[in-house]
Amino acid sequence: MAIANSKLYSEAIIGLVGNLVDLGIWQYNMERDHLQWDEVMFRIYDVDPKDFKHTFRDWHDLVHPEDVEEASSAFQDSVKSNGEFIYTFRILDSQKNIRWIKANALISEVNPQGERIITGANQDISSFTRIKQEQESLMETLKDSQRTARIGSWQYFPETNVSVMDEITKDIYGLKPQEHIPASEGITFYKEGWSRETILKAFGDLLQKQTPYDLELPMINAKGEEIWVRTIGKAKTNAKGEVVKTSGVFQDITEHKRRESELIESQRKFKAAFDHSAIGMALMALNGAWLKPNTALIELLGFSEVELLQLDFQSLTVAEDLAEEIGLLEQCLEGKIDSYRLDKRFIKKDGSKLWVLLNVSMVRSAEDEALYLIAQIEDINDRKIHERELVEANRKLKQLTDRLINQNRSLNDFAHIASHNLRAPVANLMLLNELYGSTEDTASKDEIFEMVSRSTEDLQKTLDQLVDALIIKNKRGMDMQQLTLKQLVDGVNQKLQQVILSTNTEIDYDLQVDSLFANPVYMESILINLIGNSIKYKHPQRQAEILVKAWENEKGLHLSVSDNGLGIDLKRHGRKMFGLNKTFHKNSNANGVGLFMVKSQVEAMNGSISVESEPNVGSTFTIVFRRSKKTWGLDD
Amino acid sequence: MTKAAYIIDDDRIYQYSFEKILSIVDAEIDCRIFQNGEEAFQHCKNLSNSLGSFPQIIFLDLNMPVMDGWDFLDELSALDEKLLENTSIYIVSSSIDEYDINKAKAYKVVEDYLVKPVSKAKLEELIASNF
Repeated sequence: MAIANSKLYSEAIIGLVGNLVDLGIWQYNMERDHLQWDEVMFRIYDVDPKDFKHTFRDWHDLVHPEDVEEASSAFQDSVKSNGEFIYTFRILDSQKNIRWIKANALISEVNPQGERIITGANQDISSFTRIKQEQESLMETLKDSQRTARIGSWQYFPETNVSVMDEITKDIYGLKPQEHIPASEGITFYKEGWSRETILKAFGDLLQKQTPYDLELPMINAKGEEIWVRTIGKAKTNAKGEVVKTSGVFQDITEHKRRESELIESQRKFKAAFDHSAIGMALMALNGAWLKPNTALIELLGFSEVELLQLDFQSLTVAEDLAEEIGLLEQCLEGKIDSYRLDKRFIKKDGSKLWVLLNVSMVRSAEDEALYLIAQIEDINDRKIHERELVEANRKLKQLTDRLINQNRSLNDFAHIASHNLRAPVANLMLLNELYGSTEDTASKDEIFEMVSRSTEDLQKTLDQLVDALIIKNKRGMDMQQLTLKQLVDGVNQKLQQVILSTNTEIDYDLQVDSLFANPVYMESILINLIGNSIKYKHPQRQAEILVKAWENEKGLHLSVSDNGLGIDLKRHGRKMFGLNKTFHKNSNANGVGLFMVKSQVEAMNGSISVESEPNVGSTFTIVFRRSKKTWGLDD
Repeated sequence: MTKAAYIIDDDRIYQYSFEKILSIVDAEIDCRIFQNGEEAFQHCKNLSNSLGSFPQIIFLDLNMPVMDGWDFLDELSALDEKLLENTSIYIVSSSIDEYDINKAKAYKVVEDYLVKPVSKAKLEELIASNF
């Protein structure tokens, strides 16, 4: 029944608004919140009927968010007042495009069920709205641009002597919109003298000879400000050739004039700076040709201007410095960078090289087209030379410092040794001296005297050792020669033969290097000491096994002596391993001289020595001669 | 109570002369000599286990093979403090290095640092204050 009824209403409505084109019809049952749309409605709103739930909310959600509140309340108002509903609002279609909808009818009835039914029509008026809006916006833009460009207009009717100015013209004159001045007074705003005479003559010619004018003249406006205007005038004549109307355009060009004069000023300043600059400057073509070198640059490079203009920067650049600059220039031309800066060398006319700091900037047109290059060339030759001298001086200073540090360390060592090893026998001698004085019986005195002799000998021995060490330390780099390792090792073996045999020691050799550059006496002494130590401190429970190994890697030439002896607790003794008179074993033969001498000798040959050891496992002493042609020159 | 002193030093000449001087200063002192820190420490350890009494004075050298004076002091400091209640340890070294002197004085058990040679007069003063 409800369906039959609604159909009835629809037909009635179609008859009512049938004269309208593309009109969508809707019906709304207030009591049941049921919204009925015809096909046209779905088309206007761009809604798929399957998605439509037929409620007020469906319509509400389709209306543009900015309009929905007003459209809804306008609808509610007219429902309440039972009045007509005419309202234009925007909706968003499925593509989120705006459509303008005019809702322009409202019929309210009560159906047989007693429910209130509201019927209305919607029309898509987007196309009209758009055209109207576009026109309005076009006019607005025109006005805007006139305002922005400050272009006004004026008219003058000679017969009645009436003059009319538009708002902008009045504004340029410094007048308020409601103010009005006669044409004769308008002329007096032009600056006295040349400006006023020019406009009077031009205006006179316009009236008498219909000669149009287009002038740029200075004026003083009503506010007393000096301004520049462009004034254009033309005349309109009647059939008899009489001027009936003159009119024209009036433009404020003060800003334009100001910029123009600023530009002239800055050009003038640039030219002055360019010509008189203390640093070299030049305009260069994009291919690197000199276009305009300044005086300073001409002096810097020694070429005359005429000569320079035949050349480009490439031919005057030192070959090694060219690649870098060309790379930078290419980046500039590709627009990746606007400028570059580098230290480079130019070749002067006299053939000498000149260090400069070069600063190149690209000049582009308003259309972003590369025009030319501006180069600034600063002479940094002295600075560069000083820089190099400074680096050299620094290097020497560093060398000196290193040597001083080494000497200081040696001195420290020496002071330490002197303190420990010289003071001990001296202290003994003093003690014995005191004892001698306190002893009466001859036997004891003899005993003490014997002690004094032994102490003196000790002192002598220690002094000799120290002197030996000093001699070694002071003879750095002396008497170095190419030694055959095999020969060296055989010689050492020969000297130790007695002790090797008596202790049943086994010595193996793994010599991966044939020769080394060293002092033969020191090398022999070092090996005798190291191998001798290995035998001296053999493990009491096993046969002594010693390995002498030589090899070479990126760090240099290595020579090591390993044993399976007593070993040393490096945690306890590592720090003082190579000190004079340091002994680490209860062995009565230990006199502590060996390792101190070994270290001194190794260091005198620019080598280094280190030790690895574990108690009851064994020790390995490794000597490293760093790879350097000066100290040892194998296979180089 | 017997007067006892230990001399811990590897220098034979020092051992001989120091012991002699000590006996001249006070003939009653029972003097015992150790060749290095380890020998002395082994003795001290046995002494502490058998609850024996420690000497009134220990003269300790620093620079010795096998176990030096420092290691001896470290090992001894680890023992029961009470054992050393009546013992004064004197460092007797030929080192005049400030570093050694300051380091030695930082040990609680060390009474004083004496630089070799120790004069007879100094020894008399020392003996008088400890016995």
